[in-house]
Amino acid sequence: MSLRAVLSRCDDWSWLAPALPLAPLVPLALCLVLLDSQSRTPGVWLAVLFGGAAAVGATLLAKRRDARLAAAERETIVLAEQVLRLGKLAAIGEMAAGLAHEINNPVAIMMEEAGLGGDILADGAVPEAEDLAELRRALGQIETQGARCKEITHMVLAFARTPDGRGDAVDVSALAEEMAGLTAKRADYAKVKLTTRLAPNLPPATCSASQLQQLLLNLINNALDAMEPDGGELRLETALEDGHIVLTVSDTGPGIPQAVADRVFEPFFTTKAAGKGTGLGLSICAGIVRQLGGDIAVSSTPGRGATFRVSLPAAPAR
Amino acid sequence: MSDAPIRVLLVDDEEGFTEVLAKRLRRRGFEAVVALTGAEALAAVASQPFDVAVVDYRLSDADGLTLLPRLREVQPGLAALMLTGHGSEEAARESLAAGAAGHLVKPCELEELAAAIRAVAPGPAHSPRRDAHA
Repeated sequence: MSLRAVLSRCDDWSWLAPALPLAPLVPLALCLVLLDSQSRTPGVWLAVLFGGAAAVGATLLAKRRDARLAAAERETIVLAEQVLRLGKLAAIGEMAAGLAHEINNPVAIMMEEAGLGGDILADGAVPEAEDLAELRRALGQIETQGARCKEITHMVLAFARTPDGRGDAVDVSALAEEMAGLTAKRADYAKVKLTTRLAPNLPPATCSASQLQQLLLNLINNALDAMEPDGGELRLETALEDGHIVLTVSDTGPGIPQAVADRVFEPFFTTKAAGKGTGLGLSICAGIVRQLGGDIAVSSTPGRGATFRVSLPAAPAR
Repeated sequence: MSDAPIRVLLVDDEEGFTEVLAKRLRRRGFEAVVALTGAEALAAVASQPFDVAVVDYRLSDADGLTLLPRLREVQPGLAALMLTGHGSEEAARESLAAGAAGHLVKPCELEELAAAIRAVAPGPAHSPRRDAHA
């Protein structure tokens, strides 16, 4: 095996490979320098010239390597952002049925109230006082229910559009409250009682709100999936412990056996039925937590549920 | 209308919806009673007779599909319609299996619901309007 072949296998050194043709020049130059060491013949100048050429070549190669590394890094960031966006879309997809229901109810009420208004107007040419009061109430109800729809769509849009600012000062409790609201309906349908115990006045966490939203949503969706089909209780808690913001998501599902618990954060690891889970949810969570400089761990008593605990560094006080 | 009105029990936990539905049915000559929970529905069938129950799939304290047989245990002649938020074939099958005469998808047209109630209401007492839609 040639030296070049060996070198090309070492990832860190492979950028040097194109410079190998220059290598024989080094001993050649040394010989010239030795031979001509007594008298300053053109050999020395030749050696200096070759040395200079080699240095320029190496610099150019190094620059090319840096450019490639920077491009690769940009690509990684773009990929990571795409994964985040896809994860977000998947999360919205999981919520879709619940959200459709949640919008359906106020829409059904608005349609009935409008219909009642139509009934009243169709019944009598001149509505009586009682009918007028009923009409006024129906219109008020339509407005109320319209506002309810708007609130739901705003919540979804806010989630989909949260900018990925990496240095946001995020109120973790407020965000947890928001995510609890967004998943309340799904929990309801899954026969899950969603309870929150969120610490007020937590110091903010320095991170991307968008990433933290996804982290929470993945953990919540995971807990809801774990409690299918019988339901149970999901507890969402935040606390401040030793200068760290601690966020826990606990379920009362079947729990996670130790052998599985060791692997839940691995990408593509899933215990869900084929086609049901991507095996990416928790690995994305772990990736996000790592990026935020925090820690994620799972503890479980099989048969009695599982608890995911995320600890994030609090933003330094100003 | 000279015939006795059709007595309808509306079971749905969405109060705003159930109340306005009851009002509109009353304007059309039905007798409508509202129950917001499974417990209220069971109490209602225990205290007065109904011809038709319109039951939502999901209630805060019960599941419409399991509530239905319990209502019919109290009033065996009770006809029933299920209301669902989604119109899946599975929902239709489950409704029939639970003893419902049919199922409607929310939000539905009131005329459609009224026609369905008339169509499934037992007995000839309500015949004039029922025949028109049967």
